[in-house]
Amino acid sequence: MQKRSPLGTFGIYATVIFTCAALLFPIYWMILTALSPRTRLREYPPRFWPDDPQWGVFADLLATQPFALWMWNTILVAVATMILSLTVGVLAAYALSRHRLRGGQGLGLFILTSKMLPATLLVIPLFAIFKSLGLVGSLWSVVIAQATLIVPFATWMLKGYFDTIPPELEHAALVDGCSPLGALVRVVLPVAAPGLAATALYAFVISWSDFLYARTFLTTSESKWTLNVGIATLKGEFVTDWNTIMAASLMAAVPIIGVYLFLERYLVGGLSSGSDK
Amino acid sequence: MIDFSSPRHRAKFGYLLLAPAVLMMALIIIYPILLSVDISLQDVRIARVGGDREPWTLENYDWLVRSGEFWNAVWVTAKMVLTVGGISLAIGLATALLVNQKFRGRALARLFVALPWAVPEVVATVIWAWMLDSSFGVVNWALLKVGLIGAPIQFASNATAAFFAVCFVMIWKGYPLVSIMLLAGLQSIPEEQYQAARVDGANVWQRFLFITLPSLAPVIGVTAVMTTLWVFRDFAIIYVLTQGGPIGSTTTLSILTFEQSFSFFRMGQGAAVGVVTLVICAFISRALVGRFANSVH
Amino acid sequence: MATIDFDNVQKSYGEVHAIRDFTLHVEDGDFCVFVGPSGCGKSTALKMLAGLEATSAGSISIGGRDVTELGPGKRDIAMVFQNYALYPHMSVRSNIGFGLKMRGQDKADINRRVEAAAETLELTSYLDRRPRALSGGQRQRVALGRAIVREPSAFLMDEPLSNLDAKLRVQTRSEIVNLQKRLGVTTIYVTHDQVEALTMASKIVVMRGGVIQQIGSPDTLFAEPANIFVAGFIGSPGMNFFRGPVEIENGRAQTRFGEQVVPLSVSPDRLPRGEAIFGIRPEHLKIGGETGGTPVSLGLVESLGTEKILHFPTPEGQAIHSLQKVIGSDDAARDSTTMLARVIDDRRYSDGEHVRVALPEGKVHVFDPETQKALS
Repeated sequence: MQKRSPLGTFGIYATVIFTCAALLFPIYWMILTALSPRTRLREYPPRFWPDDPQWGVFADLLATQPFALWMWNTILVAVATMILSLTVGVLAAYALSRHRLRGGQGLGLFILTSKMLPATLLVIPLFAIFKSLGLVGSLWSVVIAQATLIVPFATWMLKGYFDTIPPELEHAALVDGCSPLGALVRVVLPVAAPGLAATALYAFVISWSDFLYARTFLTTSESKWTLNVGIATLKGEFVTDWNTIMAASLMAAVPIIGVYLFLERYLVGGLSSGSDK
Repeated sequence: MIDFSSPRHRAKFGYLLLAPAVLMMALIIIYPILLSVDISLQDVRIARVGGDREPWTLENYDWLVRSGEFWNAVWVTAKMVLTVGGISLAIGLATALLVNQKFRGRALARLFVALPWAVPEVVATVIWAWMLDSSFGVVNWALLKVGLIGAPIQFASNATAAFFAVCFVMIWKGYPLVSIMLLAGLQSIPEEQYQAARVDGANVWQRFLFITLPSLAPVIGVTAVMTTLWVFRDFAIIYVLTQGGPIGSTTTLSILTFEQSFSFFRMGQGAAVGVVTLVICAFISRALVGRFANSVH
Repeated sequence: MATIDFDNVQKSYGEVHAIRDFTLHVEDGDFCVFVGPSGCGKSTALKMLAGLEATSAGSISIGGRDVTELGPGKRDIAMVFQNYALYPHMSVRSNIGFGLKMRGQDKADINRRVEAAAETLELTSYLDRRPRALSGGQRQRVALGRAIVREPSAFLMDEPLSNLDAKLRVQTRSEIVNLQKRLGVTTIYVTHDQVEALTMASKIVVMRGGVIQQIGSPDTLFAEPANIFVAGFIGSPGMNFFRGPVEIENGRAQTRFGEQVVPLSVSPDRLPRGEAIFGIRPEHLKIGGETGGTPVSLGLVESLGTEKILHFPTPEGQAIHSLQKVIGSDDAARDSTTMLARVIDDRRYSDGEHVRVALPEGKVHVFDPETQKALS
């Protein structure tokens, strides 16, 4: 590596800081607006620094709106989806990774293809099915619908992790007297723990971000809404109430941003797996 | 009771593990897809499972080919794919190259550069909706201040402006994935190749042109296909920002499918649009699946 | 303590036969090595014995008990893997004790046996570390510890030394042999390295293309290879081969090597008419006599101190062109137009020097050019 000149170093930092500032401005603007008193939002020119931050906005939001309920619903759906897709995904991914199964390759391809299904098409038959099962308006409808995307994704991601674990590990466990299931539970899963965590959190992120399914299946009763449906509706109804909307948005974004900051290293591997092999 | 540890029966254990996933895929993906084809062939308003069914007809597809709405949606989708795909790719490549440089704090810069990835689509959309607000939005203020425009742009009611507003949000949500994937691609290029090129006297631009780009080409290809599919399928951004309007200027195939089915309750027509979209997506993803197929085994 | 029997075992993947007609009897307490080039089926044979791969036909017994349909955990065997396959999330103690725990031994008993095994392998001070914190040699010993603590009826080892550096490998080689002698447990050991096979085994099974080529003691394989493949594979370097005429003189068979007439110890009626393939080990060649033998010009001289490997061209018209196919392609150093001689003396040899090479009587092997089998 050549030594960079002081001017070059300055150039790099200036570019990085300018780029990050430009790209992340919307996030800053969301935080700033959330903290601004409502009256300030109609002043020209806009202020770029929170000189009078209103921290109470979050407490107000949790107290007055059905907001807390929406958040709770979102958490319920995300956790249920995460557990469901991880359970089914772990078993399938392990089988695909380890056993030379007849049709296994076709299934692998199918799992990949299902990532590309247009969700707005799938939502029509699912609506018809849930309608006849009486599931419309139930959080379960959203969990099941999200599984169409998240189970294939989790399976694919987990298969990638299992592929990196040498099969000799389970062979050793089998020789040591484990049953095949015992080898999976006692040896493979503990070794794959980082991959399981990454997949689980990623499933959580996808579920948390869903709008279409919640909007379609839960629209009738406000108490069943998720955060995203709530926020989208707030935007339509209270056009002037931008500080409340931004505060709600901030609270909806924070868990995902937290997961991202924690998981970034794993995501790079998970998202791009298969793209460069 | 079968002893699954026996070498003879170990494969059966594999099928057993696979069973829940296969069953689930069949019930919640395959069956619904077949059902949607079935719905698209019936003249139904609100589809139900069981009960009376309409006779099969090609009426919905006939409507599709004749209606201006469908062709408008195809045109809007194509424009959006090109705009969003092109610009996200450019920003993604630029940011990936930037944070691939060696400097102190690079890990932090990598984290920040792709941060919009972690903002839920609905949240990203309402942030932009506020920033693009025609009366008090910061974007209009900045443009007026610089003197680029004389009067605030009406992002909600001007067809062209609304289209670009949707594109802004999509690009902002879409470039981080491109950046993340291209960065992974950049990191897999061995440093020796650059050193060898430097010894051969290649300058920065030549090294980019003859080493970086060819090595990245497969990843760029996959990324382009993934971004295209994402634009095709996206619902939340457009629906929350413009609901497809004004006058259809942001109605993509995905929005048209939803609108027909759940706004006008013409599920037969909606399903027909969706099935056609599925076929188009299948053709596009063949490029991707072809690449992935090699890594399946 | 047990005998091991393979009875006509087959393994095929669809149309591809990985193992054919594998029949082998291993005595109680034997150290049996499966050796052969990569892809010869030696690992597959071991995995079938372990119960990690299903057989396509035939049966396998351990200690007289048919285990063909049993799972690996029920065969009373222990295995050491090439990459050691230590459980990374467990301490060394738990790694060694895992097999006992799975068999429901009580805690105190497990602990006692783990400590005893650790004592034997000098691992006592590492018992509470994770495998990640150990060196390659220490990991290898943990893998051995996991095997010996169970006191199984057989040890299976799949190239356990190939991840060690050269010096440690030689040292560990003798440690494993001593351990096996002391415990007296029947051992099947897979390797691609014929030196390991010769130095460690009491019985060697040479394999190629899924078929057993020869079974025998190290001495037998070295002195009486059954065919050209075994002759070329065993020994370092392997045997030299050349084509030569079969002549009968006064009722005795002889051939020619360059100018030299080489008498053969094989009776004439067993020899093919016309031509045969002959083999001579590099260490049996006599170099540098004043008369006799045939003159050659040295191509390359590799010196390893006292020992020297001399390269010289095979006499005109006596090279075997299909040799590469016969020996297998893994022996890249071999080229059918060059012969090697291994000498230990104080003379200095230089490239291009002219010396006389002689083939001593009684050291020349004869092979059938059609079947490639040894004739004697």
